[in-house]
Amino acid sequence: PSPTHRAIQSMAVSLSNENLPPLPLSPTKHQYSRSLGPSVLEKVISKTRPTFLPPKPKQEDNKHLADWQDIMRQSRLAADKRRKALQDRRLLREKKVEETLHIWEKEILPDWRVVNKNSRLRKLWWKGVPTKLRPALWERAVGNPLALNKDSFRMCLSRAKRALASGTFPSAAVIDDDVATTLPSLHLFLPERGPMHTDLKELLYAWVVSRSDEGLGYQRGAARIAAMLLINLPIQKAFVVMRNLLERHCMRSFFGGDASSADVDAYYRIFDTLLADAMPKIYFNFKQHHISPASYLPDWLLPLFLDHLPFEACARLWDVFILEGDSFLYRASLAILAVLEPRLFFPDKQELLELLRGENKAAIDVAIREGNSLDGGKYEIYGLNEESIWERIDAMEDWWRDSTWTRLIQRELPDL
Amino acid sequence: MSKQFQFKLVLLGESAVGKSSLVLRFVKDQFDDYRESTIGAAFLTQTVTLEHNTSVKFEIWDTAGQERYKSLAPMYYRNANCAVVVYDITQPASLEKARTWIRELQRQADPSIVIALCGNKGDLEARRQVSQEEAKKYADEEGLMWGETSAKSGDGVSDIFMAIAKKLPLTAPPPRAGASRNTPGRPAVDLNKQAAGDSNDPCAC
Repeated sequence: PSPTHRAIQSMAVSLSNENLPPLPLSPTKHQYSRSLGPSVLEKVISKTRPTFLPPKPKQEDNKHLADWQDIMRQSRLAADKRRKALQDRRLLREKKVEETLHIWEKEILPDWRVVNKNSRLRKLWWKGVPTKLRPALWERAVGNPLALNKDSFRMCLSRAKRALASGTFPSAAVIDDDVATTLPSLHLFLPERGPMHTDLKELLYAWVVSRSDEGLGYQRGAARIAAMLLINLPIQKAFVVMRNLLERHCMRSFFGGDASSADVDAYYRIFDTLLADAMPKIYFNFKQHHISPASYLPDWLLPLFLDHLPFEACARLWDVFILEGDSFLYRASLAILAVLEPRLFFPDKQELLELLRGENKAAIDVAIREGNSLDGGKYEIYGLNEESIWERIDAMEDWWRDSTWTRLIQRELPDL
Repeated sequence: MSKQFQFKLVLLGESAVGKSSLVLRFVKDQFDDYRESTIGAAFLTQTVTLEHNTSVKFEIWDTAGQERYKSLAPMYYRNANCAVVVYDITQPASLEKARTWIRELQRQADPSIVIALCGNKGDLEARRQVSQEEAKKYADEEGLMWGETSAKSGDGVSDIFMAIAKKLPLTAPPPRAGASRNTPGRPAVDLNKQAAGDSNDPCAC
């Protein structure tokens, strides 16, 4: 073939390669330090035809392309199948929960505190509260230690509205921003068209006003919490529950701004201690690259997992957090790291941080190829779902001791 | 004197039975052959006028048919006054699904909720798989309202909403202000109701 012909052909090859998604053989890129050149794996599989080889004959090229498309098709089919099976298992789980409704109504609803004495009923709670009873049980189990009355929402909101009208409301723009990115996949809170957009904003205005006496302002993440509560409770009750829930010590510290930064540091130390116990290798790798819990824990806790985990998984985590308190936030957070564990051995800080932000490019590429949605929880691309996270939480039964938690709290937060 | 009532209506049913098309026909008298599936929930309002200067404003919550979001149920059912459960007359499985929704409504929603069973896609008579008798019989047994509609041709659409408006207990107090304060969604559904809505607002600040 003439040189021009050859040039055109090799151009065609490189073009077609650019258009192709990465080969299914390497779902996660192996990026051990770039300076060492391609990894062993990358030497074996050829993603592009090396330029020093002659271009493939057209026929061979076509065959390879057809093979490739066939492999891709099968990969998509397999992904569909996995998704379907996962969905079926989820529906089955939900059905089982709904089937226990009569037990809940008879034994738990009259006085939910019975679960503290009865381990069978407590186990039932850990499986998830039936959606019908969530409003009532969340409200009761969070309680009202702040002794807010029914009108407190209305009063705070009217104060907020006066401040808004006079232009003295402090954080309206930040709230708008946070609301606009709250649970986007549900389409409930979007500006303009979201049916609960206004409710969410008003709940947050009132919340900001109610905290202003303590000198606290808006904190990003609050919109997620408010949204979850609004889905389950009418706005006045959502307000009371939100105020009280965020008054629990761990949440209060994370939402407390500069004033509580010492407490937040203590919570980071507690997390590090537990991480070192549970997953020493991850702990060590994080340590080497100076990644402290400050790089990821607040991202999970401020929105109470709603940014990173699928919505349905969060609802069940909330059920148990509301019952068990702060220690469960830590169990859930450790479980997240346990699911991510195989991905956390990168010897590269930027790469690790990117992964923890939910922005790992390889995983996103795979998710797109398999037709998974990208607007749900950020960690869905890493296969984090209700099932995988609960597997890890359940596996913790072996070594988790509430006494360890209590001891750590006493050590790090002696004034509590 | 004219009276206005406001009610929350939820639309339920399997994916692709035409829930959103039904609302679009009712609210805007339009029809799209190719609608994208609803995600989460969509929200529209429409007002119908009954005799004696009475009007009923529906806040319509059009829900996603996919079962992705079980945990949204409390929001759908909270203060819902009526539910339209839709099936597709060419798909017997969609009637099965409708029965599940109805059982769920009977369990989860307020016992006074008015439920209507609605067989959509009436324009596809040639491909009918669910007979009127079967659906009607089931609706009678469960004490539901029943009707067939075609969002495409518009047949029966306003009838079913009108029938619901008439059946809703108009003497009952309208839903709490909290549930109905905000009417986002498509603008300009009914302009002259704006003023009436404002005067109902208990918050005078």
